[in-house]
Amino acid sequence: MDDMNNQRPAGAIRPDPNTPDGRDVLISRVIDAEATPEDWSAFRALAETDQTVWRDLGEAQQQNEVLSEAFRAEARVADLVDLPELIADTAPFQRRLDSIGRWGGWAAAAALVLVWATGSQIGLGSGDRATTPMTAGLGLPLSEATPDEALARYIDAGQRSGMVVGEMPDQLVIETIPLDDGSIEVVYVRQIVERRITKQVFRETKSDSGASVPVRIPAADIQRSRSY
Amino acid sequence: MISAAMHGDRDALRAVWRDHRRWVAAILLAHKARGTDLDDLLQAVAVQLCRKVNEVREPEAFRAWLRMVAINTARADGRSVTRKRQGFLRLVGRSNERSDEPAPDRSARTEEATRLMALAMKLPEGYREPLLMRCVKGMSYRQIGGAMDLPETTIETRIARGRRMLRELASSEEQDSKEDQARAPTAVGNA
Repeated sequence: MDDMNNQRPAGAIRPDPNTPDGRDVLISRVIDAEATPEDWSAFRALAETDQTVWRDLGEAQQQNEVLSEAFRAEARVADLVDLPELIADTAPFQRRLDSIGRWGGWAAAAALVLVWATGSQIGLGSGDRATTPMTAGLGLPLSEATPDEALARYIDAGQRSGMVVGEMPDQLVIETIPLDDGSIEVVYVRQIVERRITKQVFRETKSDSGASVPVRIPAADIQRSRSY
Repeated sequence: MISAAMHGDRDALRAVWRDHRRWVAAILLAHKARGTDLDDLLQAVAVQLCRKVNEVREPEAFRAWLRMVAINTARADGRSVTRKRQGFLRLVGRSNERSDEPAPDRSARTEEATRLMALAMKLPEGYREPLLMRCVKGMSYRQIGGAMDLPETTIETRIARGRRMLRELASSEEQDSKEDQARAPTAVGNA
């Protein structure tokens, strides 16, 4: 029995139990509780000459239960995905996302777009103070500080304002290069942990053309989470 | 409901999405690349639904349209998975990627479910998809046919064949496993 390409409902077709497809369809109808009295008669008649049909039915029944269970477990997440609140004009965000490149996951996307959503950095002030940053406490221009002093002052000022949570104790070493004078050049990442408060969080997703699209996440859908 | 959603009724669109998202998940599972998160793909399909539902010709064509959106989303994402993997800088020991391997403390039933799902993924696309859709509670042959744009009888035959192929795959895998065990060297006592 080939694919039965007609518009009749499935139950209206009487499968031939002497063909492989007909046998399979009979088993399948029993599993799906779609078997008609005629199907059951055909199934019993088949079982009289082919004892393996009961074994195949049992195996298929069990596999169907287990596969359905596996599917339900995998697809449970679907119940948590609601329609997004699309922002009206995504173009400016699109350009920013494209210029940064690709990444995955909630945390990265949320953190990146957070900055644009808030518009300015908390704790760094505005106006003249923002354009001419001064060294905290000393009244010296920041440009005159060493990099370590400037960073220490940034962390100090950030912690006072609440923007900086702290610095991660582990530094991520990217590269070590032995130098001619016996010293070693180390390229590494210092990880500063910041905190921001925002009214808007977006999640990156893809359009069918593969382009990145920021999607606003309703505040009610945000759950407390940790990446580390 | 679908007609109202197509004409811009947001509440109707939400209801339509809730009614359809489970079988959309089945389509995505049937077509997604390994390592891709299902919730990311569902989110992407939801975005497309919001943006393009007004392009559906008629309510009767909605299921088939939504299925194509899901397939395109899964395939587009699959193409980018390799690029993403190459581009990631990972922090050693802090990867939070999900493992495809079953955790050692999983129950036998769960392991069997994982094994069967993996075997189902080896079925040809045309059989895998209706078989997974049939796992959605209450989804009839007719509804699956509507989504796949195929006659109900074709869907029934494909599901029946898919189930037989799955039995054969499981049986073949079991046989291979027994042969591997038989070939394994036996322990030799002290000399």
